Amino acid sequence: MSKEIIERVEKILPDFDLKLVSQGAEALVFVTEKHPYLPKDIKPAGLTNVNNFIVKYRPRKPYRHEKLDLQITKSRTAGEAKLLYKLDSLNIKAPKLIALDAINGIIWMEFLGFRLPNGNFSSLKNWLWFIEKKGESEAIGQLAKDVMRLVGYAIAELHLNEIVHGDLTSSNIVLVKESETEEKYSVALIDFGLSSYSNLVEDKAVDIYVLERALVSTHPQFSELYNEWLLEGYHSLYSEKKKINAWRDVERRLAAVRLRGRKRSMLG
Amino acid sequence: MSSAIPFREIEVPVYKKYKAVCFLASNVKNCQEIKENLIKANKDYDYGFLNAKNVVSLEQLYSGFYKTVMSQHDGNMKSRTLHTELIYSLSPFKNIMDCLNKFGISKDSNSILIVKIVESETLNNYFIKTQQENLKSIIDGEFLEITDDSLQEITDIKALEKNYKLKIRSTKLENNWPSISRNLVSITHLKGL
Amino acid sequence: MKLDFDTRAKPGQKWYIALGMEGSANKIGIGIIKQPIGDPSNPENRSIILSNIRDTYNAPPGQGFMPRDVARHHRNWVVRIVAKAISEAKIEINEINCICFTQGPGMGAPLQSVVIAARTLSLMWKIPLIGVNHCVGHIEMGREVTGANNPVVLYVSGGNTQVIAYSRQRYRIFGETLDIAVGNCLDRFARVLKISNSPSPGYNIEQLAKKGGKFIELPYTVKGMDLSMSGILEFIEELTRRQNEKIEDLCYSLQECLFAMLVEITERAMAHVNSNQVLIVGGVGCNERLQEMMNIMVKDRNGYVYATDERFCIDNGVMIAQAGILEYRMGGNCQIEDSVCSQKFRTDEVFVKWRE
Repeated sequence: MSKEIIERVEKILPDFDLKLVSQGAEALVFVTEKHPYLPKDIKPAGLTNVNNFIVKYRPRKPYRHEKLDLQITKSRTAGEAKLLYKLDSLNIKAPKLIALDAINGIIWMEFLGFRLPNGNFSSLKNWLWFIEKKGESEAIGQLAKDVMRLVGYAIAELHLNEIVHGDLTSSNIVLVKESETEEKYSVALIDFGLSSYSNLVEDKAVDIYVLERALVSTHPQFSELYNEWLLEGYHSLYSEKKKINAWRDVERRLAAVRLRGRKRSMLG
Repeated sequence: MSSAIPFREIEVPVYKKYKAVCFLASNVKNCQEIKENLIKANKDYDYGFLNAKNVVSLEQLYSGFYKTVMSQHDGNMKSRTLHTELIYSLSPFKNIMDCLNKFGISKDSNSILIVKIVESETLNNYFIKTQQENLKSIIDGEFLEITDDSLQEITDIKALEKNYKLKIRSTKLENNWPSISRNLVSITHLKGL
Repeated sequence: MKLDFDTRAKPGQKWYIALGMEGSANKIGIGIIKQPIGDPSNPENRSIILSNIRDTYNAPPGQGFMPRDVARHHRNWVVRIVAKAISEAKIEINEINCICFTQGPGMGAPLQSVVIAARTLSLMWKIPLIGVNHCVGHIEMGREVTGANNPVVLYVSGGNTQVIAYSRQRYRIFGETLDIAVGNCLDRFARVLKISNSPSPGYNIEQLAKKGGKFIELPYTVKGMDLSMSGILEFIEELTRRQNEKIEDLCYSLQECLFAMLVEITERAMAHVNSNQVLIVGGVGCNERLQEMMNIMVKDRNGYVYATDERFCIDNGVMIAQAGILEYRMGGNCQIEDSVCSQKFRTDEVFVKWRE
C-alpha cells in the first residue's frame, strides 16, 4: 500500500527526494534536504537544522467520502500546524512550523534530533537502547537520569499550558544536542497528530500513563527507574510554578489510571 | 547613479506557473501619488505595493509568495489579483480593505516593497529592465538591495506588535530577528485557516 | 504454556454440548452447539451448530423499545424457544454439559428475565451454569465462524461500540464510544424519520442510504482512539426537522460519517497492535457499506476483513453457548449466588482462560 501513497506524495511534491522515516495509521513522515520554497542562498531563520526538513503527509483515505476526507484532512493538518505555532510561542521545544499545504495534508516542519554514534536517530527509545547496551552503570547513570527528568519536565510544560500530547511514546520524544563537545542534551516532543487542548486531570494522567506503559514495553529492564525519574521531572516544574495541588491531582489520578487501565468505565 | 536598480527574482518549486520580481525603495516621497494611480488602476502601477515596515526577512516575503501561488493553484484566492493576494497573505487581517490600508501603500509610507508577479515565461532580462525603468520613473525614492539587514533596518517594531498582536519589546523576541521572522512566517502560513 | 481443554471430559466423551441463552436487548435467542474434544483452535474441532432460534421484539415506528416490554416478551417466549431449540437439535437434556447465559452488559430487565430461566433450568436439570459476557460471546462466535485467529475486533451494535484487541488473556478495549453506541445512534435517527423498526431500523436506514448520494457535512468526532456520536445525532435531527434535505441523503451522509469514524479507529488499533485482520461483530456489522469501507481500508494494509451474516452478527444464543463452552472446558462454573446480571460488564473484565 505504502508504494501507492508514496507515489501520490511524490506527485504533489516532485523533485524533493523524500526519504520515508516513519509510517503510522494516519500519516507518513519524510525527511528531505530541500526547503519547500527558499532558494539555497536563504537560510530559514531560527531553526536548529537548516539542511534537513520534515514533511508530514496525511494521505487521503479512499474508504471515506471525498468531501468528508478533504474536510478531515484539512482541519487536522491545519490544527496540528496551529499547535506547532502555539508551542513555539510558548517557548516549548517542539518542531517549528516551516510551511503548510492543508488541502493536500502536508506540514513542513523543523527536523529535530541527530544521529547517535551507532547511526540511529536520537529518539529517546534509540538513545536508551544505545546506552543500555553500554551496561547498567550507563543505563541508569546520571545522564540517563537527567534526560528522563527533562522528559518529565517537557511533558509538565505541555500540561501546565493545558495541552495534552495524546500519543506519548519513547519514539515521539527526541534528544537534541545542546553542545558539540559534551554530552549535553535537551528534550523535544514530536508528533502532535493526536494532541488536543485539555485541562482535565484525567487526560493528563492518561498521557503520562501511556508513556509509562510504552517505557515498560520497550525498556523493561530499567523502566521502573526511568518512570520514577520522569515523574520527578514532571513534579519539579509543578513545584517551580507553585502548582502543588495540581500535581497532587495528577498524581492521584495517575495511580487510579494505573489500576484500571486507560479506559474509564462506561455503560455496556 | 548607476542605471540598474537592485531587484530580487522569486520562484518556488511545485507552483512554477508564476514568478515574481521584487524591489525595495526607501525614503519614498510620492506615496500619495502612487496610491492615487493605483486607485485609478493606471497600468504603469500594476504591482503589489507593500509597506516595508511590516516585513522583516526574505523568508517572510517568500512565504507570502508561496502562499499566494498555492492559493492560486488550489483556486482558493481570497482577492481578485495575485498582487492583492500577496498583500492579503502577508497581512494578519481578514478584511481585504484592512490589508490594503495597513499592509499596502498609504500616503505616509516611507519604505515600500514593490512586487510584480507574472507568468513565469514572461519574466526575462528584458522584462526586468522594463520594470526597472518604469519604477525609476514612477517612484521618487532610493532603491535598495533586498536583504534581511536592509529589511530589518526599515522594520517598525511597534507596527509589528500592533498588527500581528505580538509582544516583542521586553520579551525574549526583543532584538531576536530569527524568532521574530519565524513568528511572522508561521502566521503567514496559518493565514485563513 | 499448553492449555488443557479436556480436564472435565469423562472417559469416552467425544464432545461437549452447550445451551446458550441470550436476552440482553430486544432479541431472545437460544442456541445449542456441539464441540469436539481437543484443542478448539484446531480447524478440525470446529463447533457444530445444532440449533439457533431467535425472536425479536419490535417497537412500533417512531418508538424505541422499553425494557419492561422487552422483558415481558422474553418471559413469554423463553420456554417455547428453549423447547424448540432442543427439539431441533435432536438431543436429550442429559447430554447438555452446561447452560450458558448472558450476564451482561445489556438492559437490566430483559437480562434478568432470561437469567431466571437459566437458573431454573440449571437447578431443574442439575446442569452447571456459565455466565458469559455478551461482547466476548460475539468475539468468540466471530472467531469460530470466520476462522480469524487474532483479529482486531470492531464490535458495533445497539448498545456497544468498541475496538478490541486481544493481549495477555484479556480482550482489551482500544477505543470506544464516549457517549451513545453507533446502533443506538442509527435507531434513534430512524425514530426521528418514523421509519419501520422491522426487521431492524439500521437495515431500513441502509436501504434508504443506497438511494441517497449527496453528501451533507456532519460533525466528525474522533478523539484519539475513541469517538463520540451524540453530537452527530443532535445535528442530523435538527437537519431533518428543517426538511431541506432528502431523507435518503441524510441516511447516506449519516452512514458515511459514522462508518468513516469506525473504520478510522479500527485502522489505528491495527497499526497499534500490528495486526492486519479485522473481525466485525454486532448487529451493525451486517451493514454492507460498513463492510465495504472496512474492506477498502484493510486492502491498503494487505489484510483481511472477517464479517459474519445476520445469523451471528445479530444477538443470538449460539454465541453465548460458544463462549460459555470454552469457559466451561477451562473449569468455569457459575454458582447461583454469583449469577447476578450486570448492565455494566466490561469486555476487559473477563479473564480469557482459553487463549494463550
